[in-house]
Amino acid sequence: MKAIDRMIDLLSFVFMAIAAIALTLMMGHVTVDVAGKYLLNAPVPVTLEMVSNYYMVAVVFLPLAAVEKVNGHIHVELIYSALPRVGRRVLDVAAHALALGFFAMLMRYSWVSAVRKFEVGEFIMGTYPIIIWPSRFLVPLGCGLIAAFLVLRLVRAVIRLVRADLDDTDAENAALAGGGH
Amino acid sequence: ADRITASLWVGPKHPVTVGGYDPMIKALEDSGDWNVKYFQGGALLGAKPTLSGLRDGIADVGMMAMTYFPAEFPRAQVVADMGLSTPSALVAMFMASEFNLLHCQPCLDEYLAQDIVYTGTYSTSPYTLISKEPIRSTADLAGKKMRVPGSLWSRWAAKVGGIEVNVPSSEMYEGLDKGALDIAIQAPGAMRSYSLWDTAKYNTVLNLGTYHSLSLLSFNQRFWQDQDEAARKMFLEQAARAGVQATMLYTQADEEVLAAAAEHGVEIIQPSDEMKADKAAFVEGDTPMIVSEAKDKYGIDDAQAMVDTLNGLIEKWTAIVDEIGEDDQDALVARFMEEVYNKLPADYGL
Amino acid sequence: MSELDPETIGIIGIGVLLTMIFLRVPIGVALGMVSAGGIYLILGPRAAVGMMAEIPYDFTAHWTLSSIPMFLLMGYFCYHAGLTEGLFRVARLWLSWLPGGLSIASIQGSALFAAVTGSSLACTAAMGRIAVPEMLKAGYDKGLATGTVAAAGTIGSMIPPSILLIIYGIFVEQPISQLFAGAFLPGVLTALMYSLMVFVRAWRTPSLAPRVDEHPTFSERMGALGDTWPVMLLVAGVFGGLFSGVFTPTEAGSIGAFLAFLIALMKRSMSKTVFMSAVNETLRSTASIFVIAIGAQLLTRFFALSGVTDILADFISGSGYSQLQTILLISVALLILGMLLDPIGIMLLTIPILLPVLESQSINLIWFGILMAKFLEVGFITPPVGLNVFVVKGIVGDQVPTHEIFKGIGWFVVMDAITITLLIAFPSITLWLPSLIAN
Ligand code: NA
Ligand code: NA
Repeated sequence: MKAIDRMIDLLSFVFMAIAAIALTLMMGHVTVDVAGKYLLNAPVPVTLEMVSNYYMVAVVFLPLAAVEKVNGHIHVELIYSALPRVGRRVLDVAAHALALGFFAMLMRYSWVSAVRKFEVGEFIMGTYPIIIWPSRFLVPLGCGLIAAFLVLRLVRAVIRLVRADLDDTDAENAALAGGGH
Repeated sequence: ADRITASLWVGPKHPVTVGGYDPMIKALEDSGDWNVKYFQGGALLGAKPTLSGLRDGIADVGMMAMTYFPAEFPRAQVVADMGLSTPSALVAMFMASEFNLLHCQPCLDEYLAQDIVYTGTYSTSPYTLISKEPIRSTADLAGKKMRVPGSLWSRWAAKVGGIEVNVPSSEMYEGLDKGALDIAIQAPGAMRSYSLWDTAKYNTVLNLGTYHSLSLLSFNQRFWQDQDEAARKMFLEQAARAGVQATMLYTQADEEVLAAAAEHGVEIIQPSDEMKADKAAFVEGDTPMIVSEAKDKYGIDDAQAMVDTLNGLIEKWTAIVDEIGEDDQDALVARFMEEVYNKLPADYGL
Repeated sequence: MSELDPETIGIIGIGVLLTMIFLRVPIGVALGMVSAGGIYLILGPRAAVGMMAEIPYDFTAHWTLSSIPMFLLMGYFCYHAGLTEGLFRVARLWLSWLPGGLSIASIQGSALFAAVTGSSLACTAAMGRIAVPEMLKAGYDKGLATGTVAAAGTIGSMIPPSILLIIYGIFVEQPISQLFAGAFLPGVLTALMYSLMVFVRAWRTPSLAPRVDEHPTFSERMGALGDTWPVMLLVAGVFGGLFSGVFTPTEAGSIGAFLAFLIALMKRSMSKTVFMSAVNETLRSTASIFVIAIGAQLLTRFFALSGVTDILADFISGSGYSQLQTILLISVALLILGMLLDPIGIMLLTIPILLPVLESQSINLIWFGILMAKFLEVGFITPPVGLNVFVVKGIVGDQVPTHEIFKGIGWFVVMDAITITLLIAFPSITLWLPSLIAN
């Protein structure tokens, strides 16, 4: 499991790096386009298409696993913090299982869709035609990685549910009290 | 009662809604045989998701603008590229519908490959120049930031020295208002529907062509197969009527807007002969381009034959529309049925 | 397909959704799973699979939405490079006499920012990282600090430009210039009501917003002004560029982020660490917000297909109501829908049904548009699905639990109720400015 952990860490780092590049390019591409339009009467071609179909998709889907790693997917703590240990673990198992189901389905179905777009060679017509099918694969990639990570989390949650001795509730209580990290 | 889900991505006041879908929905509801679910404005499926949504049966009938799907519908792009050659909206609509339905099996196959049944189109009225500064000559277009409605106009914009900028339709008003945009290429009706006349005070009515490569009533094929022959015939009649009505309403909206332009401080500029000549020269020079692009981008070898057939249909329907007139809706629909829909086989789309 | 009729599936779906959210299932997951299940039951597997395959990409790959990550990035650059520190020091020194001064300053800041962006999510994104940490540092109540930014973000779609109003205008063919003019005073009124409420609450309960125990001299106050130059430069650049037509509201996000980056370089506070932290946090916030937004898109489709909205519509279009009764019924419907659904989706779903009713009652469509925008904005902050709240949560992370942000929203919603009552009782608040430009 440690090895899988490291593998996911590595992939998640790579995905974040790509997303970071996409984010920086989004800012740069639009800025240069605006400057070009205003100063030189020469916009950068295909800005809208690249921003929409490549940078946005990378920025949204590639970081999914990294977000899950820091528990960053938004949820409501309301009754969770009031529950005893077993209750929390049951909810953990349920939440991880549902999240796994959701992202696994997204991965599977968006993959099928991406393959279909690849087969027709999906492109859009701007000033120039731009091939966009490759960006379709960013969705199953991002969802796949978070699904893999959720498998680990689910297994760990089940272990913690049945093995109270492995469960560190003190640290969790401190975190839930709002200390953060 | 059978369930039918109709999905539009244009709003309740759009000519396609008022002239195309509303009457059909009403007819279906009045018949008592149908349980209709009707969505507008993309509440169910937006412009791009309509293709997959129809294929997957999320909606049974919807409108598609083929410009969004160049990979799946290469031949529809060639039909669209005739935009600058059409004399009027009605002729463009008749041309595109007849071409797809009767003269281009590969076009219909493109639809069937997506599990969708094509039943005709409508056409926008000719695009014009809506601008902040008066455009009175071709030279006035040089250096102007313009929003173009499709790739065909990209070539035209480049030719006249315009700067093509990417502004989504939701930011067209803001763009013109603040100056990020000098010209929107739109039919005059857009001055009202997008409120452009509040900020852009010039409309040069140079005929910049129509957009007519849509699929107005596109049916999910499994839904189509589930219908008996009478129902399919009824839908085809609705399609003929919807195409004519939506197109006429589009033109009518333009006429209303042009009539009200003065009230809104908009100057309507008639294009100079020089502008018309320049446009005609562009169209002539562009036809070989359409054919070569069709081959390079889409791998269509017989594009010249397609263009020839389409030009023939333009002539045919120009004569018919001249004969009937542009206002006699029932006569136009009757002729449309006679010339096109009645010639379809009984198992059309199955 | 299911034995149950679609409306029943829709209503059961709401129950399952609420239970899931309550039991700490990630909100985006809860929205997505309920929608997928519901669509499966109504239309079968192919439609459910199709929705899940296409909506995430189609929703995300949108030019206008790019302003959300870009304004987040701008905010993170400002925060990590300390560009806004000077401004908040001035706010502390100058507003130390004012109860809840930092919160009120943040509301005014949002109102100002609203003139740059057309989306309340982008407005919240830009202000979140700038204002919330400063308020927390000053010892403000967490609910008040976060609630302020989430609620004030709603002004983003009231003060022009506004994507919501543009879509409404195109949809019902009303002049966008009139809608923009009409929304201006209600937007300003919203900011004033919020500020007034914060002032009264902070004055009555000082622990909510501890007073600054400084008694700065005049020269100290003037001296601090010099440190506000980074923000002034940023604001001047973004406003100047937008209003002179150099760029559009969507492009303003990227330009804002780039300017913040440049100013940080000039201030010598841009380092590799600052850059990487800003980018990392932007990516995490963006992804966590978009998962929910995608879920909300799916839910809107499920609701549309279930016909639950039709029930509300039938209720409203039932004959025999007076104008006021109609408006009140619509208000209730919009509030209920606003709790769960994506605000633009609500507009697209309900307008085609409402339009004939409004027209038959000769209700002014400019006035109604502003009222509707206001209701939809309330939907951005009401539980359980409050997108602005989630944007703030995506920014503050573990520091503040989601329910505490919702709790902080409470009083702001009360003020919105008063604002809306005023808008209904005195249509001239909305219609006065449009009447001026119409002449
Ligand atoms: Na705004
Ligand atoms: Na809400």
